[in-house]
Amino acid sequence: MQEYTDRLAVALVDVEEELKREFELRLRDSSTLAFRVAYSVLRHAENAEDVAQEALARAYSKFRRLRDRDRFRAWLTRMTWRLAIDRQRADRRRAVRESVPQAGSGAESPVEAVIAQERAARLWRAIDALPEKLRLTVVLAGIEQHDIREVALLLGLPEGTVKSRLFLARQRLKELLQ
Amino acid sequence: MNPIIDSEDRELAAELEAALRVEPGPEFLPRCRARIEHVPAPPAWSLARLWVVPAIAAAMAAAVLFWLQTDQVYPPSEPMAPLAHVDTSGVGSVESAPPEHGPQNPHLRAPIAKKDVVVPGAAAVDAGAGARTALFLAAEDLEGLNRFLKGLSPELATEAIQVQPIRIAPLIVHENVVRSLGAAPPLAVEPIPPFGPIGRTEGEME
Repeated sequence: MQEYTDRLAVALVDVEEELKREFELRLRDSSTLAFRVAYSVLRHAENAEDVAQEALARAYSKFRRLRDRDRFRAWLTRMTWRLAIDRQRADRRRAVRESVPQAGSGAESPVEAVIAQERAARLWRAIDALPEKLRLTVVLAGIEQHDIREVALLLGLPEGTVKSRLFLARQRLKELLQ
Repeated sequence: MNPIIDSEDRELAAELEAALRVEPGPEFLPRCRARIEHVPAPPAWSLARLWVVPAIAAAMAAAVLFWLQTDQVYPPSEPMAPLAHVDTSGVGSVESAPPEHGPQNPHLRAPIAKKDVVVPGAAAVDAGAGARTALFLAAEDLEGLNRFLKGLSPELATEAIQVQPIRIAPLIVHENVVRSLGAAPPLAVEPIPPFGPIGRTEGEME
């Protein structure tokens, strides 16, 4: 009996270690996605990191039910989005949002950088004006170059729905930016 | 470039990608790992499976026990009297059981004693003095049973089972079961006084 319990304990430890190793892979794979999703809502890096950490902690607690990679990323995305929306509503620190970082801004002149920042600020205002469904779709499509199939997987929606939402979102954005 | 984007939307898509091309700080991943270390690990699914198997086994054992109990034949609580001692004088009459207590509801039918129910045209099967079973069979069933017994050995047919038709008395309903409703009282018709002229009171609309 003692031998059996010892073997069972060793097997359980092995399972735990295996799960931790597997989650570490998911963490490296999806942590930036969670951060960017949170950032697209909050536009505050520290708050976005907090929300992403919370989402990843919840994902870890339910990781045994979410071992499938696509389901894990979809669940993490939706959870991060909801947490970020809740944080946005509860937190009134939106006024201290950071300025939007611009890729390659080091090669631009100060005037061009200011113009780019102003243009990015307009873009974020337009994104904020979108309905939530369109906003999440267009943000996910803009993150990590997701295609329609990947966005559909992340949202748990048919590809046709994602396509129409993307079309509507872009139309609204173009109208708002003109 | 993002493959889901048309050529017309390239500029907008480029702006979106640039706006979303933000990276977390270098301490983000270590902080995530530290946070996860403090998350209480949920019970392993292997442990859950270890609990599920005994639970299913216990449920199955309980189901088998329940099935065996319901299938068990209980012995009679008291020995039945031999058929020779059964008083059959009341056979053939239908009597309603008298109410034990409380006012009798005329809309409720009183329960009928089981021993009083006799199917017209039935016959009693006397299984002998040592047996404890009495059956009431319809006439056509009795004929079938007789044909079956004829196929058995004479000893079995004569010693084990004796079939005797009984006389079916006419259906008797005692007077205390049926109550007369009595004669209905005559209907009284009163003349309706004639209506007078309809007057208009103040405030009525035309």
